[in-house]
Amino acid sequence: MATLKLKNLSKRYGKTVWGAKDINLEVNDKEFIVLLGPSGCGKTTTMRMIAGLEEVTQGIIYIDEKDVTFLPPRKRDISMVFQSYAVWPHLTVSDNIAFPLRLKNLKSAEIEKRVKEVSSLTKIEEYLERFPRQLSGGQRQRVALARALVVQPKVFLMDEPLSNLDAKLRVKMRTEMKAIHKKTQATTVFVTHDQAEAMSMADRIVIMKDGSIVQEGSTDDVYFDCEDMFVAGFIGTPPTNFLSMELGEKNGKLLLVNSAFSFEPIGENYEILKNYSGKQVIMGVRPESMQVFKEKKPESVFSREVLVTEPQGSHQIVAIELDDQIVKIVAPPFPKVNPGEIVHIGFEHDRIMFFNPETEKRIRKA
Amino acid sequence: MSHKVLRAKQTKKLIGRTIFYMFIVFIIMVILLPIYFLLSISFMSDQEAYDWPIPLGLSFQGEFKIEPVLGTSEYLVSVYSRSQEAYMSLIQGSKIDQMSEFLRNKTNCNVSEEKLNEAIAEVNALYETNSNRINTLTEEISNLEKKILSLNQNIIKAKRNLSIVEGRESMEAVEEKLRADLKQYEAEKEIITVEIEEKKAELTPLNSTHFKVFKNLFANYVTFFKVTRDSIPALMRSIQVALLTVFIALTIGGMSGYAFARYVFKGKNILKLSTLFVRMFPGIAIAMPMVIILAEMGFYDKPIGLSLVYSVGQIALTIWITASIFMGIPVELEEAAQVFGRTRVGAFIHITLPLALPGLAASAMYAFIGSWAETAQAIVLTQFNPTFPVVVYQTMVGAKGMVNLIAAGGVTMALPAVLFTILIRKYILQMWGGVKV
Repeated sequence: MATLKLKNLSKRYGKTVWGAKDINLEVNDKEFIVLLGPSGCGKTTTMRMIAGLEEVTQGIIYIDEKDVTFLPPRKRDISMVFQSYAVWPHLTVSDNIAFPLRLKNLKSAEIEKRVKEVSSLTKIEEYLERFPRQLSGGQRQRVALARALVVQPKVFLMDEPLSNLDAKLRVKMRTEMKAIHKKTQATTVFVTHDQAEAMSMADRIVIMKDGSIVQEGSTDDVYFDCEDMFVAGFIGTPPTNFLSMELGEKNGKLLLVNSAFSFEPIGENYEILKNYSGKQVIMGVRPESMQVFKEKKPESVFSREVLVTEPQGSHQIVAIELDDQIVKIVAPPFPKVNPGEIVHIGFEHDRIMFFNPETEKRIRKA
Repeated sequence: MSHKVLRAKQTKKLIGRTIFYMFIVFIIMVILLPIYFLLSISFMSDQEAYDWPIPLGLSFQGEFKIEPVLGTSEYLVSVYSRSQEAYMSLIQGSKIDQMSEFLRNKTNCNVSEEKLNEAIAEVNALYETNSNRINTLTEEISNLEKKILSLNQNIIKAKRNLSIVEGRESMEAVEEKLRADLKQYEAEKEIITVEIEEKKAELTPLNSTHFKVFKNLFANYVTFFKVTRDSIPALMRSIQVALLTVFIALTIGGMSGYAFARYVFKGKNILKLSTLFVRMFPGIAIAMPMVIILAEMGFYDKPIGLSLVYSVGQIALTIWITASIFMGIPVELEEAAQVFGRTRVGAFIHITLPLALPGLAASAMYAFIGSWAETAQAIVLTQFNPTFPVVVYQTMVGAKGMVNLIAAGGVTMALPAVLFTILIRKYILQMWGGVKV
């Protein structure tokens, strides 16, 4: 297993369109890293450059400290799972899996052993003699996975491998793939646009936007400690609520003011905001970092009429209207809140994030 | 009420189905009948081919009748015509070898001299034993025929008179008499005709003998190759031209098809469309200037020259077929092969090519058929080394009216194309038979 390092990696299409721009990334040995972003953000382009299927415009790719930027795919010691599986239809499952091994001139006994090993790992032993067209989508997926695993590569690339499966199977395969990774300990780069997938599988998530990396970190990092408004808005369902606030001063104390309510930033937040007096900030607060009370309590900041509620079983989503904007709050399932009811709303102050409205970047402690 | 609706529905369905099957049968007839016609004519003898209506079923043997011609030492040989349901006279003569050869050419039946001699001996023996009866019968027949002759004259006379008298007043009595006469003559004639038939029927077994000879079904094919100038080398040249064309069209067309399918470049659609323009020019128009170009290149009157000219049109078609085939094969399959250890070319050869085989086979078939049966350009572009279609064409022009020979040539021309198609049928069926890649 190995490390992967991308240095200023860029890809330009035509003269002006950048598929990826200045990607700098280090993947450690045995790490499972997920490239996450909306479609067209350059995550697949980046992966294809790592695989050698896309020419690099600028920058260097190192695998195990070796420059592979201009090597053809077969010499990079990688393997890949494609979105469409790319299982060769004219070969049987076992031929598909054995294909890369045969090209390495391994002995047939060795090939057989490894095919058996990997097929039991991916649970496709019964289908070895079948052709791909006789398999379901999930089974083909496993074949693609088995083929990628069998070569024991330095870096393992997966390009949205689960996106063609139905929702239930996707969740199941997610767990299985994580278990397989635990067993094989392969350095893995996984591309997806599904944040649930990313958050549940990744050791580290790399969030991309418009061809650049916006933030990288663990699931908790990208969820609770967003670098900018894009990440805060992209990660999490329902997404972060953004409230436009003005910082006022009253009686020598800072005060966050909104057309509907005002409150005093306390603790950390005071430290963060103390230089922003008189300026506009955007307050980002996650739906579950807001509290809904039926009665007025000292923690509650303002009251509002409930617009709609969406019961989810394990929790309920309460929507209120604030400045022509829908604000969603995740509340415990009980007590039940009904539309039209007046509720009192408070914040978990240490979970509030503040952003600069011009740069959309996070405002941190000076 | 609902019962009525149901019945109306059933009737509608029945009518629909009937029309459908009629349509199917019509199509089958349109496609199969001409082919069957050609095929059966190619197995027919000269004599059969000129019978009308042409019998649809194949005959496998000829029935002959031989009889002596009275008063001479000659014999008359007739053959049974299935469309006329009677014996048709073929040849009268005394020289056995000439007769045998003539019969062989005319009927495709191997009527040997021994067979003829045997039959003649038999007839002679018959004649010996029955000579008295034959003589009387022939005499009676000739008398009866004379009577018919005079009756015919009477009938004509009566008709002429009748046309003069008819419609005139005061001549009714004459007219009536003439009519009665005419009726009587005709009745008499009928009686005598029947009598002659009877006598002839009696005479036939007495002075003639029948024999059957198996037909040589492939006589036309043998004759075709014997008659036409160097037809076997021409066949070889044709196969050579067709295979060369397939090769050129598949390599160049297949490669461009791949490029059209895989790469994005400016003016791709216009370029792809423009390849079709080549096909819009009539081949013969291209052939004229090609004579000069090929002569310059030293390819005139050579298979390679012809196949170059044919390739021009075939490449366009191949590009279109292969481009759509390659487009149907996901790029990821090739990319996966590259990731797992193949070079780019290796990925193409080991992954894309096997998957594209059905489409390639189909375009190979088109190229083969298109260049194999082409005549017009071949006539212009060859001189001493014609291709097979040219030879068939020359037979058609030269052997005036030898329909059965031309049919044999036509069937021979179709055979290699059919064979080629059968050989690659698996892939063609994959392409159009719904077997998914």
